[in-house]
Amino acid sequence: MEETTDVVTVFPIVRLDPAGGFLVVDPHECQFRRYDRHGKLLAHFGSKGQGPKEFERPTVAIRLPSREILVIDRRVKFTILDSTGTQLVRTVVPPVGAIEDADVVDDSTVLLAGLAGADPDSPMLHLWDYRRNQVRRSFFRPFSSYRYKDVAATAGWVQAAIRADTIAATFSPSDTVYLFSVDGTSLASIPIPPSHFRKAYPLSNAAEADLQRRREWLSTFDLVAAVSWADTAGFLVPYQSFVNGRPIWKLLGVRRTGRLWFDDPDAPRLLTADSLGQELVFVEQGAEVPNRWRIASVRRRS
Amino acid sequence: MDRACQCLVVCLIAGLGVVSCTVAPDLDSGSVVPSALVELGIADSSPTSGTTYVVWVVDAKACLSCGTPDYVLRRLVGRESTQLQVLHVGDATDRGLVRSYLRERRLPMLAATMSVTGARRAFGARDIPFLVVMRADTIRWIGAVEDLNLDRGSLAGSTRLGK
Repeated sequence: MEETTDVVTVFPIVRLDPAGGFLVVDPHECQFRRYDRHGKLLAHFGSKGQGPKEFERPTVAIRLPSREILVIDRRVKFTILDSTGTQLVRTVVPPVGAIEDADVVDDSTVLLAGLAGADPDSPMLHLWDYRRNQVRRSFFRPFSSYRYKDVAATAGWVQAAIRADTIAATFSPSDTVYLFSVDGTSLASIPIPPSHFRKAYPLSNAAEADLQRRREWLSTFDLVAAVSWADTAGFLVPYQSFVNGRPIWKLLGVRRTGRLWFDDPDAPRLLTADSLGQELVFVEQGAEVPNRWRIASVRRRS
Repeated sequence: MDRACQCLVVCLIAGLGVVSCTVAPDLDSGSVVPSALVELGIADSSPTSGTTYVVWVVDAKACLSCGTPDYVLRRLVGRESTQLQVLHVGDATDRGLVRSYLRERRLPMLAATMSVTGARRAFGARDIPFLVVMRADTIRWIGAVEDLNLDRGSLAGSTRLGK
């Protein structure tokens, strides 16, 4: 991926651009970028701050049905850019905050994933009418059913992916893929079958005040990083563990029936996949930094 | 937390803060560059040197926290006549953790590791500074990274920071 003196890839969060190429935000660089399919940098926008052309912690960028580009800043506001990603069209103070993921539902509706307010038990998926800046419906309360509240409160991010009329969602400490209809009706919960995924357990009181023991505790469990649809078979679930605070990426596939499809604890980081699960984008295996990507496809066994 | 700030897990659960970064009382702008930094090759003692050395003093806790100001530091990388140096203060067993953090955040490799005692001796103070800007044989600025203003400070003409 092309870099310049103004563009350095640190932690890319990637979506395939329906217009071709990739839409990227880098929360550590407080920047939006647009690339073509071959990694050529087409546009970049933003710097650190809370002003109209600035970001504090951008979490995702998607192309709206209007062709404009929506950049979500978890801490501050939503920014809408023109179709090229170079000009600010407007900023929006959304009715929900702390949004970590988004996907287009239809011409006027965007699915937002993230905590709506201060209450961790509040709904974490929201159907947002982006033209009117109104939330039509909120749903999915994974916090209430998760056993270890301290883990959920600190490591409980939500990701979602839409395919046709179904939403797949994950809650990072929970080893489950949750399915909803696009109107928010719960359809199914698919537990991740036994695999390398390690469930969390609470931090002991004795370890709370001990840096080394906390560090060790953090390396004892995994968190679900995201979810992608995979062809017709089921879902790709990248997950991660932390060793000395650094993420170690892993990847498993689970079929809609709940059967384990594959589990690869040595997989490179999956950056994104298309809604059909036919095109996958990884950080290249062995890359020192995530500025070399590999486009892959799921191979069917004959 | 969000998935882009994994260290936040540590930060929130552990309640960690960034390394103590108060300014040394007897080390200030205009002071002579500590000889220990020259010996380590992360500063210059030549009064005619045109290179500005920016030394970021970091410990393992800072690398595990979510508050590390790597955004600002990356904007020092590649500046003409400027060298960003990273000095790890702490136990040598944490060196790998710091190196891993620097690689992930696209910052320069670790220049050296010093014990806390050694750093206090080198800086001539009990409190170890966080960021030291030096040019020629003189300290030009000391403080927290967030407070560094390249245009008003001793580093002129920022191309990336811009403010």
